Amino acid sequence: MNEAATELDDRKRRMKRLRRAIVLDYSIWVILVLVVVVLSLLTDSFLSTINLSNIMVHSAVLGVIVIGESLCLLVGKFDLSIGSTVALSGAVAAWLMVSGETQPTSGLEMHPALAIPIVLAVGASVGLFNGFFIAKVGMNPLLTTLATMMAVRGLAQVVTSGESLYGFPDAYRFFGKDSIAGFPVSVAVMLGLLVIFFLVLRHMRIGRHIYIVGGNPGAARACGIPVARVEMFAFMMSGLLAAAGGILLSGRLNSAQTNAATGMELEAISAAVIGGISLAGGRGKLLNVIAGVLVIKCIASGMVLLDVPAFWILFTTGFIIFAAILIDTLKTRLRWDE
Amino acid sequence: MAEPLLSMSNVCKHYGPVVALTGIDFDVFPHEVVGLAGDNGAGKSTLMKILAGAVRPSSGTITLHGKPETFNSPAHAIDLGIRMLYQDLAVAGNIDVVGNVFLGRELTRRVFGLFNVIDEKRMEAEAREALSRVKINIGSLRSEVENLSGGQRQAVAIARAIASQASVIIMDEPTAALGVTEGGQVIELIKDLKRQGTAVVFVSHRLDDICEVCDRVVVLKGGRRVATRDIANTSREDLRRLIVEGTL
Repeated sequence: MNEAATELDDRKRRMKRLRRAIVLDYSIWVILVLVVVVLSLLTDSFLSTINLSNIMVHSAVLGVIVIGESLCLLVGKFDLSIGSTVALSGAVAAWLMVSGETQPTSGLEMHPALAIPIVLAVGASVGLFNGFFIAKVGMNPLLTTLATMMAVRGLAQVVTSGESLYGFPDAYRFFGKDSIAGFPVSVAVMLGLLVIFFLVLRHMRIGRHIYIVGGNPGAARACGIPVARVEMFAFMMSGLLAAAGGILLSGRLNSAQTNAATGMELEAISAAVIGGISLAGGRGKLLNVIAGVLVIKCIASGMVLLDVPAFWILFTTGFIIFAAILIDTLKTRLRWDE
Repeated sequence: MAEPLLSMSNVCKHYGPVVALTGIDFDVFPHEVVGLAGDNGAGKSTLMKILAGAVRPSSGTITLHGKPETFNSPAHAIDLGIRMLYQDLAVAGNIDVVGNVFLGRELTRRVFGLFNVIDEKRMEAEAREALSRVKINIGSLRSEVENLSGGQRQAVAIARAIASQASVIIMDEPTAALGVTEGGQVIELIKDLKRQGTAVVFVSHRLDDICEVCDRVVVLKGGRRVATRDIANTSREDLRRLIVEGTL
């Protein structure tokens, strides 16, 4: 009798945990399905292969930079400069590789195999710069990365003399534009990076330390975890991944524009947050973030298909970010209530 | 008497012109629970932080197992076998019990001869072993520590010290945030640790707890050591007067 009662109790507890997991951890996949169903009912072409493929390709850049943003959020900070870093890396790539005959570039016409590592290093340096001043010096992440957001975009203008540069070599455009057996390389890059960082977060000490630092930096410090170094790692990866996103974007567009990826940092934060990464730090699963990216890109695509006027698109994007923060706050309260 | 495990001699700490500690001598012997008592601002936390490697003394020497040591950082102190359990910084709520037992010292194994990945299996086994010595029922080792009660959290933090084979555990007000029953459990736990050979520095405001669990008590006042007493020969009232007035 007693055993039966405990078994029932156990089952109830398991059910409760399952419900909790669905609400707290996996709700974004339910939302994604809902968005897809609604949009495919409202439009004829949403589910067409070409539209779905477009959504995937347009998700690739955001999907790459959202990884870095997620790392920053997980350590309890955030990075507003990544949109600008995307633009800067495209600009640097163009400056290094594009022919200087008619355009203001270095004239080096460097090979992509050499230029790409330099571009990635530039992005990582921006991230390290942010990380150093936020983690080591203790500057406020909001204002610091807001300042570097401006400065880095300014730097992109300096590099390109304010012009849009175009005409990248094919080998460089391979990552952003090409497909292998019909599968876009950019999407493969995004998925590959997601899996790598998922494994790092889940199975390596640095990943575990990122969660600990975000959950309780004091406990992390008391246990001898080098908190500042962990935070700097997150920011450096954020810059590095933003540069990778810049390579995909400039390759796809075949041009480097100084106003590229404007506002993408907010899109990344909202994708991460609706994907379940907590603004309070230390919580969230990277694989769910891809669902956040897809929700945002599906809605954007749906609005285009529905002929929604451009100013409503801006309104909706803002509203989605607002909703993401609201959901995050409610989830935190739900967790406390239990 | 035996050699002290840990010994501080003439330790001073000042922050600019502000003197936090002067001329502190403080010994911890094996198999001993030493109380550290004193009013707010007496210098208890500075003393603890020096032992835990979080603060460096301005002068004085510290010896561990008879060997002079300088503790450069919390990580260094932990490597030397000294564990500090902060009252409010004991655990990371978003990490499961196993992860908290190994917080910052995760065990790894090598895969493909290339990567060191966290060895969850070995960690779980060792966490189970450490927790079994703690004797407080935790429930699932995979539940997040946030879901545990205050006493269970203390138990997890103590299990961490056990798992890292600490020889000295410093506890900052381990019972302050707990109810009567849970506080009692933690007191029992400290007695167990002592039996098993670990030295404990017990920092507390609660005279009852100090009298119950400690062998000796060191009283600080205004950054100086005003008394070192065997608990057996000290009444609760004497202790109270030492803390408040600094003399008997």
